Amino acid sequence: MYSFIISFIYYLILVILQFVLSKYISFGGIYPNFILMFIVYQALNKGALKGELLGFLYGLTWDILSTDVFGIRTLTFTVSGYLAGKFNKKLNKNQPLTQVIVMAICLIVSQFGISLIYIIMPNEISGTSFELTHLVWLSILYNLVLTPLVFKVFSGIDKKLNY
Amino acid sequence: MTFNSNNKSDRNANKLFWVLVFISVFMISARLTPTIQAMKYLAYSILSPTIKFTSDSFTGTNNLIFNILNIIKVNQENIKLKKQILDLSDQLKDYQSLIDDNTRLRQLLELPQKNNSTTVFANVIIREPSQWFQWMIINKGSKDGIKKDSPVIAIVNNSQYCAFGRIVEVFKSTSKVALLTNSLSSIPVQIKNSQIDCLADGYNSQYLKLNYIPQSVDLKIGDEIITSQLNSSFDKGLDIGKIVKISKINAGEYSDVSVMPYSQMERVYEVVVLVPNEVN
Repeated sequence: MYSFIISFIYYLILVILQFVLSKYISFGGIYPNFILMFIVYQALNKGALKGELLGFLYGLTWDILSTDVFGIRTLTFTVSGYLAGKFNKKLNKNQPLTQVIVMAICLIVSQFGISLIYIIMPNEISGTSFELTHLVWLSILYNLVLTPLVFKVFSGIDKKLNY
Repeated sequence: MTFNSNNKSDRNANKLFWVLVFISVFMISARLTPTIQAMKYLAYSILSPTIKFTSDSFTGTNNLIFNILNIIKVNQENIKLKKQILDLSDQLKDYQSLIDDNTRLRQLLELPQKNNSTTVFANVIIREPSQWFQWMIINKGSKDGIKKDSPVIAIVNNSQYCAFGRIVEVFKSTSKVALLTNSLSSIPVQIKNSQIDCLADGYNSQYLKLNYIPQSVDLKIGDEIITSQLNSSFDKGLDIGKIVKISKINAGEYSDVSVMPYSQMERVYEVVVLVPNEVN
């Protein structure tokens, strides 16, 4: 029950952080993907099962709140969570370099996944388009720079809450 | 997937992964169907109030902070602008003072020279309040050519030349001027536009007195008094002042007239001394 409450609070905070506060912390139109960072952090620490479930839940929330293709982030975040979870027992997850590499893989998979879906689906069906522009690469870089710091914050909160 | 499942948890994770991927792909492919859209709309209706409330709260807070910062900024600007206004006001006063000085000095330069005399411009350096109507000290003396009994002229109203006094003592670099209002002064004057000559005496006050003017002379308040041709110091026709009071004496046979000299109507800072040239 305690774990559920903490998860719910995390969920609310992350959704607010991502969808409300992003405009205050964006940098030249690029803002951190706290939700994906949290999915990867949890997957690295708790395994693939939790990673993919969180990926699905947060991805679904993102899809509900956004006007993007419905299900696109549910799929990419689920895959990212599952992949990150697979590194759970194979790497030293406390190493910042490990965190950055796993995060980089997940970000690239996520972005390529989105690009792939847009390529597969005709524009008239998706109603929008997506390209791997320099902004996407800058966004990935920005997220990678922030990853060790954000992971440290998550780790500190987890230790305090015994989550 | 190339990852090998070594335990039950991993197997469950793999199975669940494919289930979730299947659901996600189904959502993408069926996203335009009414059922999925209705479900999305329902979920959105549940989630959006929280997001909207939080967003509004942050926007409100942000606006409040922005407004407070703006008020502080405006206040600081206001203080800065007030200081600037004060500085500019001081500068304006300085400019006005310079304009007045400039006008006065220009008029001094345009002063017509009296025959057989040299004009010497001088500044008033001492005028004691207790002896305001009696004398003053100017900053020119014998080394500047000033001589005793030279007439002193002042400029009033920025354009009017008027008799002011005469030099009574000359020092090396300063001179003492006895004003017309000094009780020791007496100067032949004429009432303008009439041929009446009389003496204007000083009384150590701001007025000059014209004594024993016959009652038959038509005098009015405001009549102007000028220097007479009987005057040996000043040129004829130089302004002195105007009549401010007429009193009858000796059963109405004579009038005593008070004259306000123009030179007493405003502060005098510069004067012109007309030094007679030496006659060989």
